[in-house]
Amino acid sequence: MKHYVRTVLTAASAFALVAVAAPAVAAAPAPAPTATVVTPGKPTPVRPGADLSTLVAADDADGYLYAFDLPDFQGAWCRWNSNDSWWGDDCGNFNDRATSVWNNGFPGYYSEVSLNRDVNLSTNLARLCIEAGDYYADLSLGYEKFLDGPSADNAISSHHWFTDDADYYGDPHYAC
Amino acid sequence: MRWPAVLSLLLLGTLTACGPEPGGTPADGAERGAALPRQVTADERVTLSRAEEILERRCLARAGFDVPAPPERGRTELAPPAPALVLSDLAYAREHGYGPRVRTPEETARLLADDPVGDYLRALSPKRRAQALRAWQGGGVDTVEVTLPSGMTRGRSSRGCTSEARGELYGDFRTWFGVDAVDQGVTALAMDRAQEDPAFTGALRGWSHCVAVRGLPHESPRRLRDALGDSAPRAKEIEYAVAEAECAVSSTLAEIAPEVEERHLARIRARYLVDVTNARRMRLAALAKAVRIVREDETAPDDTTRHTTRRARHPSRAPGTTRPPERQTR
Repeated sequence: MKHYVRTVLTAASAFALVAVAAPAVAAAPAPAPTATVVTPGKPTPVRPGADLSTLVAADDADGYLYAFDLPDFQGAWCRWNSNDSWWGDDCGNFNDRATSVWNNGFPGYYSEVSLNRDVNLSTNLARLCIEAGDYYADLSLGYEKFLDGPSADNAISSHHWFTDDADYYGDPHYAC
Repeated sequence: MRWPAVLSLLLLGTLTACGPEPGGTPADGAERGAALPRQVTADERVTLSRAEEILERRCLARAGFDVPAPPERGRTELAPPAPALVLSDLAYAREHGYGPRVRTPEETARLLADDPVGDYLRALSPKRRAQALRAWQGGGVDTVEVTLPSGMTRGRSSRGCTSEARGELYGDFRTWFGVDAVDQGVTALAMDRAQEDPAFTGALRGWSHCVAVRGLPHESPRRLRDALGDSAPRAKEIEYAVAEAECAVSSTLAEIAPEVEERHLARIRARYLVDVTNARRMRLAALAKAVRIVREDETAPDDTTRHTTRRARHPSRAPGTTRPPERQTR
């Protein structure tokens, strides 16, 4: 795949473009590309991630939002399968403590979680959203931010599940 | 099974690479220059989302979970026209408010009350429910992750029916996960940068004064929409949307916003051109298949692929019912 993107030729055939768009499909016995792409650069790499299976294997855990004190799902932790407007009285006080999170909730309606900086938030820009199934492994790096800017590390105080319709409609301007 | 996908990819690849764009809006200036494939329309995106859901349900059925179809999403109006730093289409605002982005409290309540998927899941035993989730979401096994343009990292399991359905629709889950996440991340970062652009914040002053005079003292469209929320009576939604649009037109904001937005989008897109190109191409290539899947589902005579008439046996849970959180330390 790499040599396709590194080499830039003038005539880009549709075959080559498709080969880059879907390498696994193109790896099937498709006609070999005759030319290569004009797209510069390389695709952003997708790498193997954390193993979260031990968290759910222990019991019949289902549909939980998980939060951990330390990066990479380490240290003290807490989990919820419903909304909670105050983390301060959970798991020996989980207020302003989470550094890694995983939304292992059910997909579908009300599957996205709003991680809120403040208590009892209904709608506010002081939130960071996480889709069903997704995880953020290390908030302490400072990249995961609330919508209004500050880092979410050690700053989440409550959460609620919601439906991100803007996401469904592919509307990036209103999606959380 | 792979061959139809390959053929449709090749066909659509040819169309998008060489010809006029199939049924799409004309690319804007920046995109024309970069020869990017077009973006899918809002309607096409809904078709892709519906096809994903149908494939998920088929996958779950194969795993032994006969999960019913969710009810139709509320409103079907098209999303407002781009650009979206500010809504400046007054006719749209008067008729649709913010469109499908905002629901009335009644619509919200109806959606909460009509939850066949939740009812089905709650009727399962805890053990079966946990198995259903694992089949659906992958149980945290074989995760993949990607770093987004903002620097944040998104990860998820490559197993389970959500990932399997996306792989089936787009050709390869891992590739799709990466390019889709990065493509969305490009837009998100560009919009964040644009919100802080001096040209934009400068133009906000006139706009902000204009909406304040109307009794809506908010410093930006983002803050105004945030004050409205995603659930509001229709009249209130239209009041906010019309105020946003009228003040955008009467100030310089309607002129400045598109330029600022496009400038930031172009800059960040250029850095992630491969991902953006591939994400758009994969969406376009999946369209024909998605249309077919949705059509099959709509005309399916039996319950194996379509469950919209089914209702759960135990509609017991009231929305918002809570269980105490687990308290554990590892």
